This record gives sequence, structure tokens and C-alpha cells, in this order.
Amino acid sequence: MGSSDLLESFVREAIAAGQERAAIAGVLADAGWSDSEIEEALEGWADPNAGMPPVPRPRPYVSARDAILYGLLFISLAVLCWHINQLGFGIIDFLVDDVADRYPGTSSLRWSIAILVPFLPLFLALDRRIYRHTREDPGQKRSLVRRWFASITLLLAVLTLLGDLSATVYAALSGELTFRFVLKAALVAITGLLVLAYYRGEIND
Amino acid sequence: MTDPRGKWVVWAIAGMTVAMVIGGLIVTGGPGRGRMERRDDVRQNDLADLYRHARCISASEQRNDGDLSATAHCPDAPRLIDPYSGEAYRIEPVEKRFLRLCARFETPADVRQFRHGIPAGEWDGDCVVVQVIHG
Repeated sequence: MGSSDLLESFVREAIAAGQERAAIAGVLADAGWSDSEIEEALEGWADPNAGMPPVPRPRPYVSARDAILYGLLFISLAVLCWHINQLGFGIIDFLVDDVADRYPGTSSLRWSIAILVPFLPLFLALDRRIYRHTREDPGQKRSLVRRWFASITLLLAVLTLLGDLSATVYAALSGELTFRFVLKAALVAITGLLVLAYYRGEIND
Repeated sequence: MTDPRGKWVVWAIAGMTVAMVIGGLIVTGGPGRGRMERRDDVRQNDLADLYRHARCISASEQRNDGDLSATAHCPDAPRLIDPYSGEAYRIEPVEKRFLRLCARFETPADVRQFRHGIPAGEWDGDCVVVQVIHG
């Protein structure tokens, strides 16, 4: 039995014995448990009704189905963002002339188009499916896989925004802050902010 | 994943994607332009083969007269005719050591010559001047 299981078991028995929550928290703190551990353990149980044992509250869960669903959503969003920027850079290069430009290659843009065409419907379908499932069963929001993928995506989005800002500052310092560069940096920033906005609800949950 | 309040984000991502795909199609020229570039790739490879064959002939027979038919030392004859238009590639000796190789390309020269860079030489429109005999 792990330490968290011991804690959970103790709290359950204490509540079942009719102990006050403050008293349970006090003895646990004396035993060395941290405030967050105590709070989490106590939150796991609702107060019992007369004649009923302590009632467990819903807990985060892990499922293989969620790993596929949220993993695919994560990958499709990442692929969309990457290739939106790849294509955007190519379009900006095409629209904004640079006298130093000598290599107007477009074959990589075709790859990006070819990848975006199937991934956009996939992303929309997954988003729709997850939204529908969550509406029908709010318990879906407790999926640990969902939280992990949301957290990783948010981390990557924040790192991208920081990298974008750093690249802009560096370009300004080294005399490379052209109109073309500003447009590209803005595109990366917009994409990063959209991803942050997409997962905003997950942060609030 | 998104609640109804956040639906605009999904539409924004979808809109950006569609806009980029349309912009990308305009920049790349679509399938028609792709086919033209593919045919031009074949022509450029043919010119590269002609160049290699000219080098072989000049090394074995010490001549640079523009005749690139198969020889005993260089039996792997390159393609002398554009497979798409049926037009013969132009092969012109330039002085003793150089050769001008020309094809009728379909894409603009400024896009084409930097896309591949073969054969190595000085490009002028649809022609490339290559050095066959060194020294």
C-alpha cells in the first residue's frame, strides 16, 4: 500500500468514525503531511449521510481510449500550427520582396498544403467529438490524459511565444528586423495565442 | 475540447488553415504549375546527362564538337530530344572548352535555375554554358 493509499484509508476511517475535518487535518499535519496533501485527501470524501459510510468524490482517471483521442487531437493541432506557419512564411516571402532573396523554392509549401488538407477535418472532427462527449458526460473533464495533453500543449505554446519574442529582440539587435520578419513573428505569435485560447478552458478547470 | 464560448478559437484556427491553403495554392501555382515544374526537372536532368556525356567524350577522344552520340568509350548515350515536346535539345560548342546546352523550359528561369543548380554552369535563360575540357 502506497503512502497516498494509507492517507486515503485513514481519512475514510476517521470520517466514518465521526471525526471533524479540522481535527483530522490537525493530526495529519502533526504527522508530517503537507497542507496540499491533507486538503486533497479530505476533498476525496464527502460528508456521510445518516447511516451511510463516507461517500467518495469522483477522482481523475486514465483510459487508453482517451490516450488515442486526446493524443490525436494534440498531434493534429500541432501539425496544423506547424504547417500554418510553414505556409505563412512562404506566402510572406512571396508577397514581401527581399533584395537578398535568391531561392524562391515552393516544393515544401506543397507538402504543407498536402498535410493541412487531411489534418484540418481530423482536428475539427476530434474537437466536435470531444465537445459532444464532454457535454453528455462532464466526468470526461477528469481525464488525466486530457489534462496532461492540455498541459503539454500549453507549455509548448508558451515556449513558442517566448522563443518568438526572443527571436524578435535578437533580430532587432542584429539589424535583421525587416518587415518580412515582423510579419513572420506576428504569425507565430497569433498561432501561439490561438493555442493558448483553445486550451483556456482546461486551465480554468 | 472547447466550450461554446471558445468556439471562435476553433473557427479562427480553421479559417487560418483555409486561408493558408488558398494562399499556398496561389504561391505554388496549383497542380498545373506542379506538372510544368516536373517536366522541367526532367529537362534539367537531361541537360545534366548531356554534360556528363560531353565530359566523357572530351576525356576519351579529346573533342568538343557538339556530337553527343554514343561512342565506344562512352556507350551510355543521353536523351537528345525533349520527351514532352519532341524538340531536340540544342547543343552548341563555345570555343574549344565550353558547351552551351539549351532546352525549352516552361517555368520562368529565375525560379528554375536556383531550384536545382544542375548541371553546374552559368545559366542564361533556357541555356547553360558548361566547361567540358578543363585546363
